[in-house]
Order: sequence, then structure tokens, then C-alpha cells
Amino acid sequence: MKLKVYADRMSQPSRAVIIFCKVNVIDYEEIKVLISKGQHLTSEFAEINPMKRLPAIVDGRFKLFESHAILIYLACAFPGVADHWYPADVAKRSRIHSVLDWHHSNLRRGADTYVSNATIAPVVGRPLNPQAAAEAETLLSSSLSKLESFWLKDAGRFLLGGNQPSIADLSLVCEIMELEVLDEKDRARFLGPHKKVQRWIENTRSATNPHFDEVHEPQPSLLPDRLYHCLIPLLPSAPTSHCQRSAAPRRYLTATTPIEAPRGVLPAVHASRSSVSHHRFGDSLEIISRTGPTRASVVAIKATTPAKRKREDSQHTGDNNTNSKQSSHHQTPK
Amino acid sequence: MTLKVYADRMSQPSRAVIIFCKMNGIDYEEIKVHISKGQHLTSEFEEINPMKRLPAITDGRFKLFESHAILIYLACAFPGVADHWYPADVSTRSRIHSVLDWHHSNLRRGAAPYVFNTTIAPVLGRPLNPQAAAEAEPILSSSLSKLESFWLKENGRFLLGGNQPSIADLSLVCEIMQLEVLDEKDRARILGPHKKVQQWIENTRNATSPHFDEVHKVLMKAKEKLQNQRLKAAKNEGGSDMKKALPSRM
Repeated sequence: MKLKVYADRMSQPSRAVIIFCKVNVIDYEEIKVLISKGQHLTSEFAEINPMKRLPAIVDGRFKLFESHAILIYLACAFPGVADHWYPADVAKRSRIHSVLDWHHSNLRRGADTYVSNATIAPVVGRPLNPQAAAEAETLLSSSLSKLESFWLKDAGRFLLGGNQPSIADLSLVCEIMELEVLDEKDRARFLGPHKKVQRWIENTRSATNPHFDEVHEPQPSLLPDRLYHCLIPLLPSAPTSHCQRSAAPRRYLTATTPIEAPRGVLPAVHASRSSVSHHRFGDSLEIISRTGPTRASVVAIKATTPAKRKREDSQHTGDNNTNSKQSSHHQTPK
Repeated sequence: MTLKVYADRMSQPSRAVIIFCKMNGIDYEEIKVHISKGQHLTSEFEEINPMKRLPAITDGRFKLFESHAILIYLACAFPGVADHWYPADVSTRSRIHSVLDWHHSNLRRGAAPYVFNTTIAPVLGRPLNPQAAAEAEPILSSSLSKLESFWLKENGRFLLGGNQPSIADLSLVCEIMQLEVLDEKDRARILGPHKKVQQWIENTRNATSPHFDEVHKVLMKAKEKLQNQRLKAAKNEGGSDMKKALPSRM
């Protein structure tokens, strides 16, 4: 029985697990559980994970949740996963545990709370909490500083001085990608001072591409009209069609270098190497298969209502807050 | 060179690491770093752990912090540690990782700020913060409910249906023990509904006896002092609000 990964690509830890599976050619079935539609709160999903959180996996009769536990399980249980992801050496492995633990109460807590309060909350009708946002901002800033000065202090392209990525790099970089939804000035303020962090994000992205970009693909048809129009002012001009996406790589702002490509523009999507079937969890299951390198790299929007078929949008909103009222449309490749 | 464990026994994760060392006959030197005296903020301790948090260990030239990472390291690196603490079986081990991860954002996130902001803060020269406590309490309550209904749902004396304790039992029970310093009524209100949780705490305590009680002595002394202060305050104020916590004279 194939491994099942229950995920919402809007959720940072979900993305880390999916990218890991793709990079390591783990045969799996992705079952989309849309947080913005409350699908994680159904009794059906509670059977999979009583904590009603994403991601979760089912491997035969074995169920597991918490993304770090999942990444470790996959690294140990599936053959062919290279040692650098989760080294067998006890000391190296312990240091990975250390940064993964630190992440919970620091980068994760700061980034997730800040983005939720500062950006998504106003447009989805939940009250903004300025105090929580201010506390989260302090925590996020200090976490990024700690990454710059400590976790990336050794000579090496990745955390803890590694020259190849580990599950810790994947988990933490997927978290930082959430900052993409912030206003440009905000994002520059947080990330601009941290050159090592920016370089590390690019290193992780390069080491896991094309899967990194594909999994971080914006979901344009996920936005209802109101949210779409609220967020438009935050974006530079969006491309008019997926077919016209620029091949320019995404860059993070530096203090001196202007951005090289407009935000929201991604390299062309490459077909996945692994055979992946996509299910949407919930009342209208759709099974779409995506196989082999011969398939077209253009991704079409699959809207659920006729009125939304014409919308073209490259916005990635990245709201993973379980209380979000944002409704979404599932984008699937043809 | 002997393992060094930098710890403050008032710190929940510090206690878990010390009890684990004692239970497994690990040769170590305990170096007390008193949070109440700000010793974790010195440049000297920063050399050990730049995050300035406890516990931390040095094993030769190897330094490590974060208690879960430390417990796993000790279980793997030291011979003679029984398998039940951190089983070799991949699935069993993964479930332990799962509860240890859940702990960060749930039980720990609820319990630590609740106890701190209702009781312990003055000991560290900080004011009580009833609002922060009010925000933490629902997280604490729902975490205890999840322990009762999910993590302890299987037949077994310990988490995940285990019949012997793992590092997860030690970590989480040491966290819950911090509730000992609360006003008795508060503690009863929060813990009272959860019979399995109470049984599990006893099971863990018994399984790690006599070390569990010995390592918790500092906490129990703090509990006694706080209780006496509350009684005094109640007497002086003619029996008014028992729940008010006074600045500690510890």
C-alpha cells in the first residue's frame, strides 16, 4: 500500500514533507486537505489525525503527524534516502534535533504568528491583534538573527556547517518562504540584513529544485474575489498567463541589490519525476495523475465555478492558519 | 572527560535530563546554573549555549542544547540505556518524536507561561501577568485533555500504550510537575478532571524512583514556601482572596 501524505501546500510543514518525498523519489499519494475550506476539521480527517493538523501520513496501518517526526520516519524507513538528510552519526543527528526543536518556539512561532496577524487576518475577517503581532515580530527578528549568527556560522552552504541539506534546512526554509506573502517593505526589513540567511535559502532551493519551486507554486485560483482584490495592491503586476511566466529566478531583497525579478513570478513548472496522484480530500474527490517527463509544463487553472475560470493570478498567499476563513480553489495540472 | 549537565532544577526540562542520567547510571557532573540569579545570562554560560537556555550539555568537545535533543543523544551515545527509553523500532520511535514535537506547542506552551505568570515570575524579579496566564490556560487545559483522550488512550501505563517509560514520559511529566507550585484550588481545577493523566504521573514517578522525588525536592520546597505565603496573606487580609500570589521572599 502506497504512502499517503495528507497536506495543504499552503502549510509550511506540508511543503517540507512533499519536497522531501519528491527529492528522494518516495512513491506516495498526495491527498490535499484544504485548511481554508475547513477540511482538516472534518471527522473524516480526525480519523487520520485527531489533532486536526497538517501534515499527516499513513503508511499501511501506521499513522503519523508532526512534520519533523514524519521527515525523520521517511528518512529512516525508505531506502535510498541519502545520509545527509538525517545523518547516522549520533552527534550530527543530535545537532539536527537541536535546531528542529529550537525551530518550534522560535522561527516557527515568530514567523507563523506574525504573518497571520499582520497580513492575512485583516483580509479574511478576523481581528488583527497588534500586541501578538508585535511580540511575534520581535521573536521572528531574533530568530532570523540567531540563524545568521549561530546556526549558519560555520563554513558550509547549509545549517550547522553542512555542505548538503538536511531535513532541518528543508523545514526551516519552507517556514521562511511564508514571508513571501508580506508587503515588500516588511519582507525587506526582516530579511534584508541577513545575507547568510538569504544565501542559505537560495542554496536550499537550488539543492531541491525543480521540486522546491513546483511545490511553492502559487495557487492563483484559490482566492475569492474580495481577498484577490485586497491583495492586488501588495503585488507588482502579475503575469497575464501562466504560459508567459518569466524564467528569471526569484531573488530575495538585499540591502543594496534591487530585486531582479518581480515577486510572484516563478520559473516554468517542470513535470515531477515521480508518479504522483493527487486527491482532494473531502466531498468531491478528484483523482488526477501526473506522470513522466513528457507531460506539458504549463499548468492550467482548474476552477470549481465557471465565473472563476478566467481569473489569472500568480499570487501565493501561504495562509496556513487553521482558523482562516479564506476559501480556496484547487489548482490541478492537466 | 565526564559529561557535564548544565541545569537548574527549577527548570522542567533540566529535571528530565538529570533524572534520565541518574536512572541510567550515566556518569555526569551537574553544574548548577541558577536562572533566578541570572546565571544563564552570563557571557560564561553563553559559551556553553548561545541561546542562554537550560539545560545544556558538554560531552568532551561536543556541546548540545534543547532537552529533547539531549535526551535522544544520551539514549544513543551511552551504553546500557534500556531500549524502552528510545526504542530502536522506527515506528515506535517516530511516535515518540511525534509526542515530543506536539509537546513544544501544546503542553509546554500552555503550562510554562501559565505557571510563570500566576506564580513564579516574582521569584525571577518579574511581575505576574494575568493576561498572559489567561491566554495560556486554555492551551494547557486542552493539552491535558488531549493527553487524557489520545496520548494515554491505549492500554498501558505510559504514553502511546507503553508499559515502560520513554523519554517522552519523562519530559512531559516533568513539565506537568511545575503545576505543583500553583494554588491548590487552581491545580485541582486544572488537573482534577484528568484521571488517566494523574495515574500516568504516578506511574512515571514510581518507575523513576527514588530519583524523581530527589530531583523534584527544589520544586517542592518552592511549593511549600509559596503555600505558606498564601496562608499568611490570607490571615493578614482576614481570609480574603486565596488565589492572589504574593511576591516571593525566596
